[in-house]
Amino acid sequence: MIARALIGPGPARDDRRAAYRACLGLSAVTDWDGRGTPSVGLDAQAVVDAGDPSALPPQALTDVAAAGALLVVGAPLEHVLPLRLVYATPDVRAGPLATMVEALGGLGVRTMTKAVVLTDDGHLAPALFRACLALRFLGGPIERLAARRRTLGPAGDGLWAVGRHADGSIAYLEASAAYPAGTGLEIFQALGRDQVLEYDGRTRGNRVWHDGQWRPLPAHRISPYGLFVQWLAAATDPHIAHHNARVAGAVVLYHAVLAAADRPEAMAL
Amino acid sequence: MNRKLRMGAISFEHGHQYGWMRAMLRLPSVELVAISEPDERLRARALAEIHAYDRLAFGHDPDQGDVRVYAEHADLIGATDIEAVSICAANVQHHALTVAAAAADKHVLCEKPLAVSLDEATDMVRACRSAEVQLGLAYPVRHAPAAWEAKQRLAAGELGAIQAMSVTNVLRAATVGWFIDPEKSGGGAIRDHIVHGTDLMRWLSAREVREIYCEADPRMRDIPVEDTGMLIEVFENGVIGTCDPSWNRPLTWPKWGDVTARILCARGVLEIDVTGDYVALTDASSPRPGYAPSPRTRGEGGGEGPAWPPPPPHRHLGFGASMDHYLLQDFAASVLAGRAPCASGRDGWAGVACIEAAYASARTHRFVEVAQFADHVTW
Repeated sequence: MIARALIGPGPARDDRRAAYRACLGLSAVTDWDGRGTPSVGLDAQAVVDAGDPSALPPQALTDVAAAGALLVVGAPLEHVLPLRLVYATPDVRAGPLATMVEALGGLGVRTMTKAVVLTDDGHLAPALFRACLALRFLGGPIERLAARRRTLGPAGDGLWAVGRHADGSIAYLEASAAYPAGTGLEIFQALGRDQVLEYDGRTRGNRVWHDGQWRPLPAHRISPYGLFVQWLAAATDPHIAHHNARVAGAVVLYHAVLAAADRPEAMAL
Repeated sequence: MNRKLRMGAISFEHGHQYGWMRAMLRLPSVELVAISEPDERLRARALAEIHAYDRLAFGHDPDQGDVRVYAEHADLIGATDIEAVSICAANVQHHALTVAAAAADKHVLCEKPLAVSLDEATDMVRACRSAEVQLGLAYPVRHAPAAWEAKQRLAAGELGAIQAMSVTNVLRAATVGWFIDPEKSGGGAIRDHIVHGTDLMRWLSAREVREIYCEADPRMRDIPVEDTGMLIEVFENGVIGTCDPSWNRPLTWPKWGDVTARILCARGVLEIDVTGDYVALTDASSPRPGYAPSPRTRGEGGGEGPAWPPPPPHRHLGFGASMDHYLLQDFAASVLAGRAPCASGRDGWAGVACIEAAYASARTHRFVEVAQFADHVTW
């Protein structure tokens, strides 16, 4: 049972806050950067939504663990901690990735899968994890991977990986959070002999001109993150219920990309 | 009156020669003197294109004596009234034809890739230098208006330094004939396609590729060469580029292929799609009964290839400028002015070096160092 939500730092903080408020009510949701005592209680009925857990101070994670609160993360943690942990997976519940996953059956023999997540918010870890989720859900397990990492400027790094899925098809991943404001994009592709599934966020047609740039209009009355929070609130033990092989595979892939980035050869997974 | 470059078109094994020939026929700086093609069917098609141009340009059937036609390449190369040749043969013939043309004092515009080995590429560059003739490479993407504009903006520094690059040069799975015969092509999508994207990144960044990681093999079709691949390319300044050269789009894809680039700079992002200027066609009559593929839609390589479906009901009709036109215009201007073409033999050599590194990486699953021109080619 979730009674309260503390919204930690990370990407799309406004969207995450709005999703919890719609589900739990206005007064049950507050922002928390992991420092000091939050204005709503940190206990076993609280959820801490850390969009970018690497942006939380280490002590905050210790406090969350001690309180028995549920921790929702937009990226895997660097160290294993005794936490009630849920990975945020809104993309696989609604939106282009979810639609693509449902349509995978017609691809035929796979040739390649691509996941490109480029943002302008400075949070590389969640951008990388979203790309890993996409690659794992669209293309299946990864068996071999080579990667490179490079600083793209003051806003952070970029990561590039090329490898092989277990079925022999080629995997490509690109993630960065250091793109200039307003230039981020998402590209998901699943290519097979019989069908090609492609999503390119630049081609969104529903949009509004505001503040000097085009902004997309929502594709859902309830956002994918809103659906995720609804599921979270309804689940009895979400930290147990949400675990599955594909999410676990994405976590493994996330760590593998980071580990492979300095190596001269591909890494076997 | 401005002088014209007197050119000969050698081989139509690669379909690009038809586009080049159309450009030669239209450019005021070029005179197409002769063509050579041993294959009677390809020769007939080339002649038909010339006749179609004559009817369009002059309103009457042509005087067939205007453009000489040879069945043997050696006869064209030996013709003393031809100053330059465009070579569009199967990849394995590029070396012999280029060296022979250089020996006959002909400037050469060679289809990419320059060669099927680094030794051959080196020999070709040396032969042309020794003969004091220009060696131009058919990297037409450099001449796409959007690419040209990008190059100017980057050179002016208005976007700041390049931070990362990503290119695609994908194609319908339509390559047939010699393209998928490794004895004649030297390889598949890696040999045929990484040169466009890689050269675009080299040219825009003015940097060389230092190391490459590549995954590639035949995934789309059961053919003896790779048709799907993906590369990470590390440039000499540490910038990362990626390249998708795959021939893995279905035959029903709405366009022939693409060449796209995304260039992240310190103060902005450049995005290029040379197939991005198009009119969308939805064809209610498709599939058409009795449809027979034309030579142009049959697929590159001259063979019969896969059983083509009817034209897809959704198609992209491009209205962008002809890159071939600007490629030939630049080559002719460079020869007439005595300067190197926009893409020279050195650029072709660098492309072959990247291809060889990519194949080595695909075999070993390691990042492979790319050979550098200055280290290997001495005069």
